Parts: sequence; structure tokens; C-alpha cells
Amino acid sequence: MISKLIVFSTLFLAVLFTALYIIRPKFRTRVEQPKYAFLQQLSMYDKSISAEQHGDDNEYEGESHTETADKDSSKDCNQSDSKKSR
Amino acid sequence: MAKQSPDESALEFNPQIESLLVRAHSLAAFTTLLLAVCFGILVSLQFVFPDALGAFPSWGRMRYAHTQGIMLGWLGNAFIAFMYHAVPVLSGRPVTSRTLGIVLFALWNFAVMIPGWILVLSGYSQPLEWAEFPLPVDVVVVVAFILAAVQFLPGFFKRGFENLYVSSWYIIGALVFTLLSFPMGNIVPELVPGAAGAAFSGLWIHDAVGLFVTPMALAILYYVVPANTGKPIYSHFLSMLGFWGLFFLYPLNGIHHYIYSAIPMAAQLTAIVASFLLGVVVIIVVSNLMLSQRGFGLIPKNLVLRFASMSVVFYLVVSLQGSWQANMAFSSLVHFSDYIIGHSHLAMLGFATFAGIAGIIHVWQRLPGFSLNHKILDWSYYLLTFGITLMVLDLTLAGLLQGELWLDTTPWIESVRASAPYWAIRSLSAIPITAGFSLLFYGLLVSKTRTATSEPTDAIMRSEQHSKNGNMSSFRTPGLPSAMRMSYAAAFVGGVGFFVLSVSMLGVMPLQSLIDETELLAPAASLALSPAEARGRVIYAREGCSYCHTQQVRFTPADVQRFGAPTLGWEGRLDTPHMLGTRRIGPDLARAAGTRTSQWHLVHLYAPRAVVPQSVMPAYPELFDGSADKPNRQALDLLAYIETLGRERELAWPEGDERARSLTDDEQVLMSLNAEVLNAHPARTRPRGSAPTLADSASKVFGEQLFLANCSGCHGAQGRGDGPAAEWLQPAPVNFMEHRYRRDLLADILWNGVHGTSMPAWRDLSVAQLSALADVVDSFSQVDTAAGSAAQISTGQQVYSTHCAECHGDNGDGDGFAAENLPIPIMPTDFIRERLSKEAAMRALREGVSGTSMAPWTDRLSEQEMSAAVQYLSSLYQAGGTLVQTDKSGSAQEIVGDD
Repeated sequence: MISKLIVFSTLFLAVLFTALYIIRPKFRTRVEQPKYAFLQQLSMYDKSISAEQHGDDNEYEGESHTETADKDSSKDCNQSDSKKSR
Repeated sequence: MAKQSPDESALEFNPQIESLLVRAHSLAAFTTLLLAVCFGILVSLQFVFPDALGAFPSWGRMRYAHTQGIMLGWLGNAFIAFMYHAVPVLSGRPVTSRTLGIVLFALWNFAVMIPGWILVLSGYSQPLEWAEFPLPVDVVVVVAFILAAVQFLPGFFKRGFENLYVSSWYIIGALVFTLLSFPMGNIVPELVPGAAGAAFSGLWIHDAVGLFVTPMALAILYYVVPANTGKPIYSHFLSMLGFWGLFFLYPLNGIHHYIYSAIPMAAQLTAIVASFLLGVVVIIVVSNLMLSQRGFGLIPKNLVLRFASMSVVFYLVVSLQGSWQANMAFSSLVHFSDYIIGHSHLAMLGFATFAGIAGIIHVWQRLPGFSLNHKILDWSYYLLTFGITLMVLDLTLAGLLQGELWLDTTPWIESVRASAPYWAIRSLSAIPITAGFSLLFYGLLVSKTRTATSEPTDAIMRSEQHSKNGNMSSFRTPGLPSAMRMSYAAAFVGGVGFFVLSVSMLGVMPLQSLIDETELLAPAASLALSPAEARGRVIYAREGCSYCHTQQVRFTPADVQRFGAPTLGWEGRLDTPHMLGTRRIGPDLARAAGTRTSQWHLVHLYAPRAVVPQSVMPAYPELFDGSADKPNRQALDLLAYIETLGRERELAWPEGDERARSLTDDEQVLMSLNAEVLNAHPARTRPRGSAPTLADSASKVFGEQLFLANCSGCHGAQGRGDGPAAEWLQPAPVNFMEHRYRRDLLADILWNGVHGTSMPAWRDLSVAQLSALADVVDSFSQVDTAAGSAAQISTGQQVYSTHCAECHGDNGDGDGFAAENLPIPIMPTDFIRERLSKEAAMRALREGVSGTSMAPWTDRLSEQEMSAAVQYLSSLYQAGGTLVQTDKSGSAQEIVGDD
């Protein structure tokens, strides 16, 4: 009995929110908003770090996170959701 | 929440990082990690060199220090270090106070870790998995978690919950839920006995992973992945679906650590279902994280991403393992085995540790004045990945092998012997792992210092940066519908509700059910532990005995066959805290009482390999005054406690079980009540009879190997009764050179043991193995068969009738009228089926047989009389003979003696 309740309540809520996500663009935009906001926060923070380390050699051999973030974050914000909304 | 203009919102973004605290916790994390790994290595070496660790604290104590060191020392510090960086960025606000941070650091490391380690290594602990630090330390941990909540959560509350990123949710969830679950897991089992206490333990075992470690690790992954790819995560919706799925289902998993136990089946099924659903949720989380890293490959150049992506892979594997382990059929195979140890290492050392490393590297390279040495960290990554993968694969295979061996009637020691190479490889895997961690630590310590910037400058620069950045429209969304805000509050309340639901369903309901079952089925009178037995229990707990010996016979056919009737809930009604255990390296001890002699136990504690040559059990010489026959009070207390295990059910059986059968229709309980025997321990001595027929063995080498593995500890490699344990055992082990046994007696002794001596039954050996052993014993015999003169035999017969027959029987078959009432209840020698050498017989008459009721006869018999008696005894031996006995299956067998 309890097991069934867990299964059905989990599935019901998952299906409900997934359906909402699919059929309600506003909901989708709201739910996805934080990932862009977070990227913007990261960008702001990393810029401040970059400024502190102005002129220093960056030995970081991997992908340049600050540059990518700067380029992508502001323009991405809300664009992707708009695409999905369409 | 009042609306704010974009400019106001922007001004609120002040992510001042407490670099000092980031550094301090990072350094503490790696220091405790290396120490915890050292404890782990010592623990693993016990399995390879069981006698080499005498100078260290006992195995159990070091295991306590290992697990608590990894969870609280390493991961706890790593998570806090990460939060000092992430929370200000996520919330846009600094943490509450640097002073508070210093207090938290001091508390976490100098009031939790160091005292915790000192206490458990000194023997002050609680035998609860992932809760080994003693209660006073637990109280400090709770205070530390409260301080952590005060330090890190206000920023989120001030910021508001709109647009809250998934990492923030995980951090909030981890801090809040750990505050709820930690006291439950650490304190409740100290108050609630037996299986009901285990239900709460199970909740905490899983909550420690599911509500503390996993959320913090996922918070790191969701943070560092977009930060290092420069792209937003694939789907925030999926991440939130995963978050709520995890927080709903994780707490419901706990009891899957006790499948087939006495905990009510309804609770077990709930945990099993939740475990399977959790697997689905994890697939969602992992898919989202993998899609968020698409384009960067499985081994990205970026070090942070590299550790993060491997962490995600580990998370997928360990979670699917977890779901599958909850499957009842699979659980019956792998539970208690090294498979589970591999699983937990994959979770803590693979998934969580790699996430923690990713978080620390991400944070460290943003510290003012630091630049990472990538070559060193590269090496660290490869060494750690190789080492952990090797260890987990090795333990997984070992666990599957152990499970297979436990499913049939193979002697327990076979699983120990078969595990030896796997345990060696496990220890070897510590080399790359330790090297990887050391390099990582070294790499961070020798990070090149760039132009130093002091911390006050950080804040100034950031403030300037804020004004340049202008507004942060996405940081806070003006005009958020009130319904949406309400939903966050509802979600928070719902989240706490999940925890309450899990505790109710998997803790309180089983507790009530077990209380009802105990009232219904338990004997009216209970036998509480005596002071000595209670002291023994404390020793058993502090040495971590329950980490190798469970105290629960599970409701599985294999357990019933090997150990006897499954453990009922009421049997642990006085066990606080419970010691059901989740791992078996040695056999279950739920019914240890009466299984072995006290001497055997004492020798086993003092020098385990003296009685079980292939044992890996640690020795406890500190419980003795220099010799196994000089136990101090602690050894006697421990022995007294061991003799209580299963005592209550034994005393109530069989009348108690018959009464209980009429009172319940619970199928699980009836399985225990209907078990054929209460204690099926193969070594338990039984009355003579019903032994199988032992044919000649085909392989002498096979028999010799068996003898060395099982018998040489007492009887010596050459069968001379001079094994390492011989000096401490009374009666002394038989010198086979001086004895010749008829085949049927040998079968009887091997099958039933010799009650009152340390000779156990060997019912876990097959008939073929027993036959091979019998051949080896035969081959040792050098008994002179020359008969004495008729006059001697005649005199001997008179002596025998006068002095010996009352114990050894009129015809010498050992069942004289006094045999059943001897002060030491060891059956007198059956001279019809056993012949002693004349030297041994004379020695027995002159000196008696120590440890038996056989006294010296020199005060009543002359040398001639004794010599005549010996000749007569030798003449009694009947080499051939036909007896009808039953074999293992119970069918009648005709036995023909040898010679």
C-alpha cells in the first residue's frame, strides 16, 4: 500500500510538472531562468577575479571559462527559453 | 517580498569570499583525508598480514577512525571550503561572519575530528555505522551544523528564493536535512533497542550519503560544470526534478541496508521500491549533468571538468548499483560481502571525493595569488581514477565470489581463503590512491604564487566591478507571482515533510510493529545482561566486532541452513544500541552461545590463527596477561557476553516457539518459528550418532590440505597434537600418532565434535572432505598392535572391571553407568573403536588426562596392574564391525570398520 503510494505520487508529480513544462512556456521560462542567472553571477564574479589578477600569467591550460562565460551568459540569458517557447 | 528595482538588486550582489577560511578548510580537508586514508590502509592490511599490526590500535577502532575521517574530516571540510566560495556567489551576499567561520573551523577540526579520533582509537565509540564518534562528539557535530546553517543560509534567505539555482537548493537541503537526520541516526539507536534501532540506523546510513554527501557533491557539480564550460546547464527543470526526487526518495531508502532482517517486511518493501525509483531519478540527474558537459569529452582538458565528469560517471554506476542491490534476490547474494564495501568506496571515494576535488580545485584557482600546477594535478587524476576503479572492481568481484560461497554449505573459512588475493589487490590499490591524493595535496600546496592581492582588495575590486556590470536583471525577477513565491515556501515545508514521512514510515512504524510483535511473541521473562556480560558488550562494541560478525540470521534459505532459525525482532529487545551489522567477514554470531568452548574462544581472541589457521581476525593480546590461559577481566567479560548471544531464544526453545506459532500468522515470523533447528552452527557439538559413511578418499593431497587448513592449529601439521593452540587447550588436542580410530568413530567425531572439548563438529565439510580428513588422521597413527600375553590380559581385565568399567563400560565402549554424571562432561574413551598406544595409555593411567575426569591411578594401581590394564584395553579394539547409521540425508548406511 505504502509502496504503491510512493510510486504513484512520484510518478504523478513528475508527469504533472513535465506536462506543465511542455505546455506552459511561461512556466518553462521561469524554471529555466536560474541557470542563466547563475551564469551571469559567475560572470560577474569571475570578472572581478580577472580584474584582481590583471596582467598575471594564467597557466590554465583548459578552456577559458571566463571568456566563454562572458560571451555566452548575457546573450544566452532568456534566448534559449524563448526558442523553446516558440 | 518587496519588489526591488534592478539597480537595488545589483547592489545586493556582493559575493565577498572568505579566502582565509577556504584555504583553512581545504588544507584541513586534505590533511584529514590523508590520515583517514592511512587508517584505511592499515585496516585493509589486516586482511593481508593479520599478525603484523599489533602495534596499532585494534582493527575495529581504526575502521571507525577511517569512515568518520572520510565523511566528516575530508568531505565535511571540503564541502565547507566549497561553500565559502559558492554561497556568496550563489546568494550574492557574503557569509554571516568571518569570526563565526573561525569558530566553525575550530569546532569542526579541533572539537570534532581530533577528539573524535582520539576517543574512538582509545575505545570510546558507538558501534553504529557512519555514527562511530561517541555521543559527546555527536553533540559538537550538531552544534557545528547549526553554526554552518547560521553561516551559510542567511544569504539565501536575504536574497530570496526566486530564481534560486539548483546548487543553492542542494546546499540548503543538505544543511537543513543533515541537522534533522544526524541526531536521529546518532542518538535514537542509543535509546531504541534491536531491530527497531537498526531501522533508525538504516535511515541514517542512507541519509548520511543521501542527505549530506550527495546533495553537497551535486551542489558542487552543478556549480563547477557551468562555471567551467561557460554554458548553462542543459536543463534547470531536470535538475530540480532530480533535486526533489532525491530529497523525496533518498530518505525512504534506509532500510534497504537490512533486507531480510527482522524489520517488518512492509518497511523493507517501501525501501526497495524507493531504491528502484531513486535509480530512475539518478539517471535524470546524470543525464542532465552529462548533457551539460557535451562537447568537452569524457576526459576534458579542464581539470575541474575532468574530476567532475568522472564524478558523474561514478555517481551513475554507484547509484545503479545501489538500486540493484535493493533487489531482494541480488541482496541475498551480495549483502554482507565486499561488494557492498566496493559500493560504499565508489560512493564516498569515487563520486563524492571527485566532486569534492573538483570543487576545491575550482575554488583554489580563484584564490588570490594562486595558480595551479596542472602537471601534478594531471597525474593525480589518473592515479586516483586508476586506483579507485581497481579497488572497486576488485571488491565487486570479491563480493560476488563471497556471496556465491555463502549460498552453499561451503565452510565459512573458504570464503576468507578465496578472498585473500582480492584483499591483497585491494591493499595494492591503495598505492595509486595514496599517491594520487598526496600529489593533489602537494600540487595545491606548491601552486605558484602570482602577484599577491590582499583580501580587502578583493572586496573593493568586486564592488567596482558591480558598478561596471550594471544591473542584474536575472538575479532577481521583479514581479514574481505571489503564487510562485508561495510555492517555494510550500516546497520547503514539503521537503521537511519528506523527512518526517521517511522517519514515520521507516522508523516509527517499524518500531511500533516490533513492539507489538515483542509483546505478543517474546517470553514473559527476559534475561538481562549481568554486569560482566554488559561490560563484555561494551568491549565487543568498542573493538568493532560487529563490523565483521553480524548478529542477525537473515530470513534467507542460505542463512537458515548455515546458522539456524532467523533472528526474530524480540531477540534484540535488550540490545541497545543494536549490533545487527552490515558486513560478514567472519560468521554470524547471533547464536554463538554454546557453540564453542570457553577455551576455544579465549585462544581465538588471543591468537586467532592458532585455532583457525586461515583466519584474518585481529588478535587481542591486550585482553590477556601474556598467555591465552591467563585472560584478564576484559577477556572474561567479553567471553561472558559472547555466551549470551542467542541465549534468550535458546532458553525459550522449543516451547516458546510452539506457543508463538499459535499466536501469529505473519509469514516472516513463521519462517523462523518453523525452522528445523534453532542453532545450525556447523561447529556446534552434538550427541553421538547419525554420522555419514566415510569412504576412502581418492586424493591424499586434498586431505592434507584440508588438515592443514582446518586441523593443524590444534593437532599440529604432523598430527602430533602440538599445534600452536595446543598449549592452551584442555584436554590437549589428540596426538594422532598415539591413537587409532575405527572409521565409524572417526566419522562420528568429525560429524558431531567431542562435547566438552574444543573439538568442534565439522558439518560444513562435505562427506568427501571428511573422508579425506579421516584418511589423513589414519595415516598419522603409529599405534603398536602387538597383543600382550594371555596372563597379562586376564589380569588387566580384572583391573579394568574393578576400576575402569564404571566409566568406560563393562565391555569398554565408553558408556559406563557413571559416564553421564562425570564432573567434566566428556564421554569416556570407547576402547572398542579407539586404540591408544601403550605409551599413551600408560601415561593416562600414571598422570591422568588433564581437562577430563580421568584421574591418575598410581595411588591405587601398581605398574604391573596398569601395564596389564593397558594390554587388556588394546585387546578390546575391534577393527571391523558393522553399524547402521544415517547419512547426511538421513538414510540408513551400513558402516564397515577399517583394518
